[in-house]
Amino acid sequence: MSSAERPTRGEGDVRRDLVERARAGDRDAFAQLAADDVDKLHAVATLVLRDPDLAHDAVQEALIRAWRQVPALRDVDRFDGWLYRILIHAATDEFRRRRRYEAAVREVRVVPTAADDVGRVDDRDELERGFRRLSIDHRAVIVLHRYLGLSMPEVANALGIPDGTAKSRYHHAMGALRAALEAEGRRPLQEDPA
Amino acid sequence: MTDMADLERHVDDWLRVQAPARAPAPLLTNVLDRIAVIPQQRTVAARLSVTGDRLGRSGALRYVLLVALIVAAIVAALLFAGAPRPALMSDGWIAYRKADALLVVDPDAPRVRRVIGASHRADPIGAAPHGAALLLRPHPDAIPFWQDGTWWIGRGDSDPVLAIARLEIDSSGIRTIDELTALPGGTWGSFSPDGSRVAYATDGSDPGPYVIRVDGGEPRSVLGDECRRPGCGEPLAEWAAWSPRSSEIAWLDFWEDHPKFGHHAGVLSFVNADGTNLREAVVQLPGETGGLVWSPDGSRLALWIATGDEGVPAQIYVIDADGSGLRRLTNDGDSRWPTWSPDGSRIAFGRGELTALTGGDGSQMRYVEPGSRQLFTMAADGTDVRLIEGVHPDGPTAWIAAR
Repeated sequence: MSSAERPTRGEGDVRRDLVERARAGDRDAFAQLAADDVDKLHAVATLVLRDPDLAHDAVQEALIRAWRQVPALRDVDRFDGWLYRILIHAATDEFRRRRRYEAAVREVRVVPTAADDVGRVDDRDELERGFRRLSIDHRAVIVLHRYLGLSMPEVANALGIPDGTAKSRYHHAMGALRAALEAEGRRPLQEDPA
Repeated sequence: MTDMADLERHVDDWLRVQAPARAPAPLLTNVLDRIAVIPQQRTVAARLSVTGDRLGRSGALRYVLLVALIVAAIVAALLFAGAPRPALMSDGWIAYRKADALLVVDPDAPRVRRVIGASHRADPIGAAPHGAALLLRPHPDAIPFWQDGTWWIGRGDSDPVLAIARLEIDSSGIRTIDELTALPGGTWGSFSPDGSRVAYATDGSDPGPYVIRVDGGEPRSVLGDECRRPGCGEPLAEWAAWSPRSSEIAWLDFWEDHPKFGHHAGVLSFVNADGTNLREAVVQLPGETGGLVWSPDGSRLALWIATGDEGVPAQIYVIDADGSGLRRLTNDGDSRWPTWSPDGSRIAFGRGELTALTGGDGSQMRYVEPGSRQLFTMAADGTDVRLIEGVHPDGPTAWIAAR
């Protein structure tokens, strides 16, 4: 949830009440939380995993884990970060599961040899390729920070890692994306690693 | 492109374009359908208290288990009559739990996995020698949390109870018959050599190992109904295992204060199933212990030992059947839950990376995120470690002999 999208105090109180009720075993309250968050969770999972099917499974698994584990949540105000942590863990599990089957698949692709008037689209393609080369951990930092607008301490909290690690991952990931954008134009042919 | 702000604008644009606006409608529907029947995982059954400001540093490690009651299960008819069924794989299968499902994986072909039944939220901890039954333990991994100035570790509502699930193996695969026999109070155990009985241990005030028939009946305390050991009832945790080659039962006690070995002592003891040949505290082990399992030939035992103050990280060890020759087999991560291959040549185990939580006083608790542990096998001497890729057991596993 980005800073701009954080609920007002009144909305926050309602949400807090829902979390407390869910923690106490109220399925309707949890259902309301799930309905409120599912689009955002699905967007994050899709961005991180780059696969709609995997994202679907990850969100489903994350919400079920959240339902089961929410009684152990001690601070209801940290529900959002806690939920994103569960989502990223579920996404990682799904990614590993799928990667096992795709390990032998190699993709050969042709990159345009000269700049053209669709450079913006090319940039997006290169971002896609560069992003896919990142680990799930690094993708998660970028998505939580740049898409959700979480601060770096919030990202660190959501991922359960130290602030310094979150910053380090972010700079590493952005550096890798920059390198991908700068390098792609120089390569006539690129083969993705298996 | 070299400017960071420019790159971030590109990334922001790309993410905005790539993000789907809405989740598919069936996603939420599926989730709501499932949580309608899935119970929550309640915590506070176990408590870790500290006397110092850091868990286990100067204070005692104590936890109190709320003994949960489990509704009795129904014993199904054993369906093992008829012609012998062909074996599936020479090395058998490794059974494990993932959420509500009980699965098996072929360790030689990790892509070959099958759901064999409902897990009842319990992990397989041992298989009968003939592969016809599993012993299950509903002790889920849990995330510690800080409350009221102390660390707590949650456990499920249903522990401690062991349960026995029947298995059926034939040429078409392996599945559970899905009827359970509950062993209330049990925390860890294994089958007798003929598979007709189970030896199991309990936590806390109940002394020593128990034996019970797999089809039910009254459990019998191997050491007698009355506690006869000094300080009996004090052990924090017990783990029992029945030798697959004899009537010998080995068990581990982890003591708060052992009368002989002192503070936080793990000891290994032996006794025959009829209560004779008692050999208590044959050896003191260097830390918190658990996951005790005999090798198929009865010559060794595997277990995990955690030498750190916080009970982590644990590593896999083996020890000879006379209590000598303790040796460490693993060195990485937090490695637990050994299980022997049917021929005794390999040991499977779960390994996870530790995550740290910081408490209100700045103390830290480290744990393995539930479901993140990976399954490995290694040769019985600790060499030739192999990852079984894509398998993340929620707890202990059991290597099942194929018939």
